[in-house]
Formats: sequence, C-alpha cells, structure tokens
Amino acid sequence: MKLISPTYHGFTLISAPKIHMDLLWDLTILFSGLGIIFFLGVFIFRNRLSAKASKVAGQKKILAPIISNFLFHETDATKDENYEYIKLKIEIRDLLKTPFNRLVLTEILLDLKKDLSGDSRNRIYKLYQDLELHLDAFNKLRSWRWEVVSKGILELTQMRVLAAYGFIKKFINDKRGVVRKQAQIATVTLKHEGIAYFLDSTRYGISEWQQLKLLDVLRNFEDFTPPRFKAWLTSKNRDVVLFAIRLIKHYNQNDANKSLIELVKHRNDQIKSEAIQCIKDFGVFEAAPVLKSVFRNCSVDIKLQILDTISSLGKAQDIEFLQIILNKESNFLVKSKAISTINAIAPETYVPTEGIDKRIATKNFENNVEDNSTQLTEDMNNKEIQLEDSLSASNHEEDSKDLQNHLDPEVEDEIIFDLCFMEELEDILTEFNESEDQEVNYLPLDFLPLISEEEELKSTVDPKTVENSDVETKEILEEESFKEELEAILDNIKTHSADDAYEGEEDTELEFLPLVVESNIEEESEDLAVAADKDILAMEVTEEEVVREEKNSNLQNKIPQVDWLPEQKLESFETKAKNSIDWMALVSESERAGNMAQSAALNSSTWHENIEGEENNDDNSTPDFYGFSIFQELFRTCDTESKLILLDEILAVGDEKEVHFLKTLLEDSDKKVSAKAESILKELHKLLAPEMPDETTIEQIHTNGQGAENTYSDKEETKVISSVNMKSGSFPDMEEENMKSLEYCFLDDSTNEKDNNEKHLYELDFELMDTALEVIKMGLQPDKTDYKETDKEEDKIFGSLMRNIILFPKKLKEKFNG
Amino acid sequence: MVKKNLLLAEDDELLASLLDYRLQKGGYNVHVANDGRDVKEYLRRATPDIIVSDIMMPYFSGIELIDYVRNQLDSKIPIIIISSAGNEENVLSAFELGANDFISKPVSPSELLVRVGRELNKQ
Repeated sequence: MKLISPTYHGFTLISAPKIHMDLLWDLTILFSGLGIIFFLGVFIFRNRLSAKASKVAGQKKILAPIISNFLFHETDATKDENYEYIKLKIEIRDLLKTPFNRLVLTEILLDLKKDLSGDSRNRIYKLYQDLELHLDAFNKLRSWRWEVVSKGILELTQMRVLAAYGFIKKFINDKRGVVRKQAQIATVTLKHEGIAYFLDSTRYGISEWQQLKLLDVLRNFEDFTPPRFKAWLTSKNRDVVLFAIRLIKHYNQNDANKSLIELVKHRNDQIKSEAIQCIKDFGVFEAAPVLKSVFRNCSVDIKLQILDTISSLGKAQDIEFLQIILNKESNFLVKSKAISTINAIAPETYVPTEGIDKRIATKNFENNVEDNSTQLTEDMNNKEIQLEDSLSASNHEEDSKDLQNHLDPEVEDEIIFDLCFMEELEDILTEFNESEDQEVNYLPLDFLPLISEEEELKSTVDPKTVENSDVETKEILEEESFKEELEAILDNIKTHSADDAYEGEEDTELEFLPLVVESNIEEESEDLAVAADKDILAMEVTEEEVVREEKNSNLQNKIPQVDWLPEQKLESFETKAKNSIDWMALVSESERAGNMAQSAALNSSTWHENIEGEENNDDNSTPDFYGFSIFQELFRTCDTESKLILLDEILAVGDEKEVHFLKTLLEDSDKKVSAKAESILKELHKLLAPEMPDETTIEQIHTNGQGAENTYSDKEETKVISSVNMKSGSFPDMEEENMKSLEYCFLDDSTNEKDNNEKHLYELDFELMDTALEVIKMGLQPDKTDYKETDKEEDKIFGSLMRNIILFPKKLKEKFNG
Repeated sequence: MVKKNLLLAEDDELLASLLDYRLQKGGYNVHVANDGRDVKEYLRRATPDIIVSDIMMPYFSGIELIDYVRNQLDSKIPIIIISSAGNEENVLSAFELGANDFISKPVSPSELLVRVGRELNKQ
C-alpha cells in the first residue's frame, strides 16, 4: 500500500514545546484535587450556615414566647401571671449563660424592634439592657475587626444604649471609614448634643450621603432644639462649613447673613453656591453688591445662580449692572439669563425678537381677520367655491391664506382632503391607463370568442369553461367600468368645482352606476371595435330581460302573494341578504366548485325560508323601500367634521337613496350635522325633483327601447323600478335594469336564479351559433334569434353574468370607499 | 364571656408570636396562620369573628385573602390589614376590595388591640 506523502513541512519556530507527560498528569491531579476541595469547602460551609440558621430559627421559636411574656408583663398582673413571669426570668437567666442564646435573643429583640412601635419598642430597649445584652455589644467595640466594631456600634445605637455615647464618640475620627461613619451617625443619634460634638471634632470629610443620613437622623428627633449652626461657618473643615450652611437653610436660621455674604467670596464653588442659595431663600438684600462684585470671576453656573438671586432680590438700579452683563458677556446662557433677570425686575423690558415675521402689519390685522372671516363663512356654505378660492389663494395671497387657515382648521382639513382625493384619483387613473396600454391584447370582449372556440373544438359543453369565461368577463368588465367610472367621478369633481351652473344641468354623477350598459348604447356608432364589445353587452342585457320576464312569470306562479313584491318586501330581502353574507359566500363557493346541486339546494332552501319568513312576519306591515345609502355605513364611524364633508359629498354624488338617509340625519344629536343635513336635503330635492321618473315614462322607455318582447308586462315589476327611484333621464336604454338599486338588482337576480334553479339545477349548456359569432366579429348587434337555446340554462349564464356586471358598481363603490 | 375568634395571618413568626400573645392577653381566641395556604385551610373549616392579615404573605397575599373572603366566601367578616409603610397602592386596593381597617408597620400591639375591638363592636 502506497502512503501518501505529506504536503506540508514542519517549521521549527512554531513547533509546540515539549512537555513531559508526567508533569501533565501531576498538574491534572493537582487541579482536580483543588476542584474537589473547593466544592467540598462550599458544601461544608453552606451546610454549616444552613444548620446554624435552622438552629437559630428553632431557638427563636422557643425564646419568642418568653420575650413576649417579658414585653407585655404588667405590674398589675394576677398571681399566676406573676408566678409565671418569675419562672421565666429564672429560665432566661440560665439561657443567657450560653453565648448562642444571647446571640439569638439579641437578634429577636433587634427584629422585633423593627416591627414594633410605641410602648412595645421602649420595652424592648429596656429588656435589652435588663438582659445585659448590651455588654456583648460593648465587647464588640474592643475588637480589632472593623466589621465587628461597626456592628457593635450599630447594635448599641439601635437599642438606644445612651451609656455607649462616650465610647462611640471616640470613633468619630477613626481611620476606618465604615467605623467612622457608623460612629458619626451613632453620636448624632444617641444624644441631641451629638451633632455639635460631631461638627466640632470631625476632621475627615463628610460625604453627601453621610450628610443626608445625618440630616435624616436630626429630622426624626423629637423635642430637638438645633444649635445655631452659624458657629460652624468658620470651621476649617470645608465639609463642616458646607453641612452647616445646609443645616442653616434647613432650620431657617437667618441670623448668619453676614457670614453667608462672606461665604459668597469663598473659593469653593459648592460653598459659594450654597451660600448664594441661602441668600436667595432668606432674601438677604444687602448681599447684592457682593454678588455683583464676585460675578465677574465666577463660573457660568455660579453666574446663572447670582443672576437668579438678583432677579428675586434686585431693584431698578441693578438693571444697569445687568445691561453691562448683557453687552459684555459672551456666554449665551448668561446673556439670556440677564435678559430674563431684567424682565423680572422691570417686566416687558425686552420683548421677543427672534422668529417674528416683520411683514405683518399690526394695524391692519383686525381688518384682515374680518375679511377672511367673511370669506370663510361663504366658503363653508359652498365647498366647491371654497376649494377654488383656497387653491387660488395659495397662489396669490399667501399671508391671507395663512391667517385664514389659522383661523379655521376645518377649512384647512377640507382643502387638504380634496387635494389628496384628487391626487389619488388621478394616480389611480394613470395607473389604470398604463396597465391598459401594456396589455393591449387584453380586450374586454375576448372572452366571447374564447367560449365559442371551445365550443367549436368540443362537442360537449364544459361547465367549467363557461365558468372561467364568466370570471374573465367579470374581471374585464370590472376593469373597464372601473376606469370609466373613475374618469367620470374625476370629471364630475372637476366640473363641479369649476362650474357654478351645474345644478341646472342633468345630474351625471350617478352615471357610473349603469355606465357599463349605457356607454355601449351611446357610443354604438362611434367606434366599430368598441361598439362591437358594447353592443354585445347590450345584447346580453336584452337577453337578460327576456329571461327576467320569464322568471317573473314563474315567480308569480310559484308565489301567489306576489303582490307584495318589491315595495313591501324588498327592504326585508335586502336586510336578509346583507345578513346572510355567509350564505352567499357558500353559494358562490358551491358554484365555483361545481357542486351545483348543493348550491341550488342552498339557494332554494334559503329562498323559501326568506319567503316564508317574510310572509309570516310582514303580513300586515307595509314597509317603505328606501334603498341603502352608501354614506350610511360611512357615517357610523365618522367624527363630526368628516360627517360634514360627507354631507357635501352626498350633495355632489347622492341620489334618492340618500334622501331617506338625510331625513334620519335631521334628528342627529349633533346640531351641526342635522343643520347641514337639512340644507343638503333641500338642495338634493332641488336637484332630483325634475328627474324623478314616473311609471309611464319608464314603460314608454321599455316599449320604445327594446320592443314589446323586452318590456315588463307585469306592472308590479314596473313599480319596483319606479320605487327604487333611479334616474332614468340619462339612460335611453336598459333603464329597468339600470334604474334598480344595486341591492335590488342583486336580490332580484338571486331570486330569479333560485326560481330557475329549482327546475334545471345548473346544467349549463351555453353556446353561440355561428351567425352570432360572425355578427360579434363584425361588431354588429346580433339578433336574439341567433342564439341557439340548447337549454334554459343559457338564461342562467346570462343571469349570472349580468349579476356580476350589475354588482360591479357596488363593488367599485366599496373599493372606492376603502 | 365567650372569646371571639381571631385569625391572625402573618408570615413573620416572631411578630406573629408577639401579636398572638398580646391579642390572647387582650381576650381573644387567636389562630395564627403563617402563609396563605394556612389561611385558606382555616377558613374552609372555621369562620373567625375577625381577620388580621399582613398584606405581603407567601402563596396568598392579603389582597387575595380579602378577595377570597368577600367574593368567594361571600362573607362580611371584618378584616384589618397590616402593611409596611409606603405600601399605599396595596392599601388602597385592600380598601377597594373590602378591607375594614388598616394598620402600618411597625405595629403597636396596643393600637392593634384597640382597632380589633372597635371593628368587632361595629358588628
């Protein structure tokens, strides 16, 4: 076997040092042993601690009742109690012989001292000394260990052993910091005169924390008469002077003004600062010359403090000094403080100068306000004019607009809203146009040939193909209509804002609703290609109408009480339909999945339920059908300002459906809204009054537009259309479909569907005859006879298609409203 | 004269022992519970005339005890709360839940005795 030669070479410089294996083993054993010893030590130490703790806890449980007995023993106790007390005393004397018990007793008393107050605490102090436990603490003071000494001092202090004062005060200047500090606190705590002794004798510095603790001790003294701390203002210990000033301030000892004034000249900034603060608090007016004289050589902080003091103590003659500071001082803070000090002494000497717009003439201010207020009032009444004015004002009168906007934020909000709205709308249209340019082949009527091609290829009709084509149709028509409607809305808004005379003209703002159909008819002669698409749509609608006629007759046969139809029942249908979104989704899902039987069952069952429910509930009632206002939903979540804006929009785009909604708003709790609603209602009435269709007009339109075969023979059906109150003036054809409210179209269609479903249950067999296809290709409107009726389900397909088309504006509205 | 039953809920055994002694000396039949579980256990089998409870206790705080007594047991037993100074929020919560009185630490046993007597007299 051939060995592979190594591809690397060893270098002597980086070779590992040679370590003897025995040494490695020795080291391993050593460290292992050390580890074991360490863990063993921790284990033993921990066990000892826990054992001691448990022993102490056990002993505490034994001693606690004895302590309680001692604490609460009364001199007027009964014989038995006295006997027991004496017995316990003897017992405790025995216990105190052992150091451990003494330790436990001390701990118990220290713990109880924390939790008890009043007389019980004093008894604890007394018991501590009665049991001679303080002797142990004194012994601790003799220890060489600082922590033991400190603990002894603390114990004696906590138990208020006054006899320890003399012992403890010796530790005030101890070199060990902890002992020293503990002794300082103990000295001050044990006796009232301790503070004086401490301030006299301490040589070490006193930390801020220590000063706070000492101050806290002094504060908690009862019946404490503090010494005059000015005596220590002359101390050589800087911290003593500082602490003395603070104590002077704390106890309001204002008999040391001269010393305080002198201390302003102190080299130490901290002392200087405290002295100045004291001067300010005590209102030492005679300190002003000294403050001025030391000002120049002080730090910025002290300068600010001096200026602050002068602002409260200063007089008019000090302003000259402050002016000099203002002129000569380079520091911004000091200058600013000097100004505020001058203003404090002589108010309003300096007025704000920074960021002031000097172009505003003060004299004309009131006139400007009046003019703008008048203009605003007018603007509030006419939103369109206001929009135009605001836009023009932004170009010409900037100052005026600023004032205007400052005066009324509502107007500003409305303008911003409109501008944003227009921008958004234009963006959407631009995007739509771009996408349309990119997808040239994606024509709205591509779906029709596709279906026929498949029909040619396949001898049998595939329901899924029809379904797919239906989906395509829906998508294409949605896009087409969406674009047209957006453009229409944009045009309307623009023309409304520009043209004041729009009110007299025909209201075209609702054209977006039936635009899908109407545009096909109107533009028939203009463009052949476009006309072909739209004519086919129109043809579909015509076919739909035929189907509708048949369905209506079927419906009448099926339901004898059809007299209620639309006027009485539609509202409840509408409500039910809204409430049964899940049901619709289920039906839709079933249709998509091809489960026609299930879908039909769902449709028919719900339909019957609805009919029965309505018959039972509404036999005697005749509710009015008002239609559903799209604004109603928006109003629920709006604030007042938004409602007012929406009311303006109702005037711009609203129709009869909004009339009822506006009437409900008249009773709105918000007076602004109700007033606005009233005015909008009046204007809307004016707008709608000449365009209200009547039955004869509609019937004539039906007769003239589509021929006798397409008209509604049923007068009830005509009533439905008129009751829905859709505008008919602008729609020469297909009015009956267009004039229905969207919701009704949906419901009507669904009811027809259901009726039809009972017979044939989605056995779709849709096909176009060759002649019809040719006509479509030629862009001509085919005759209905060109359609070969293989089955009645053909109507169903057109019904479904039309439902999608008719539903589209509603979907658009929903999209548009977010 | 029948001694009134007092439930003392206090986790500090030393303080509990001392208060127990003082309250017993004051004429009450005291049951000491050192944590929330003891309190619950006792309340299941007996109904004290008054409860003196520390707010901070293991397993079952004084606040929970009040809630338990007032809402679950649906009892109107007077409850006196013992709380350390500066525990204002807990004290307010205790009063909202239905505590009758409050005493702050460090406790004066004599004062507690007076308060207990006053609450029982109200009943």
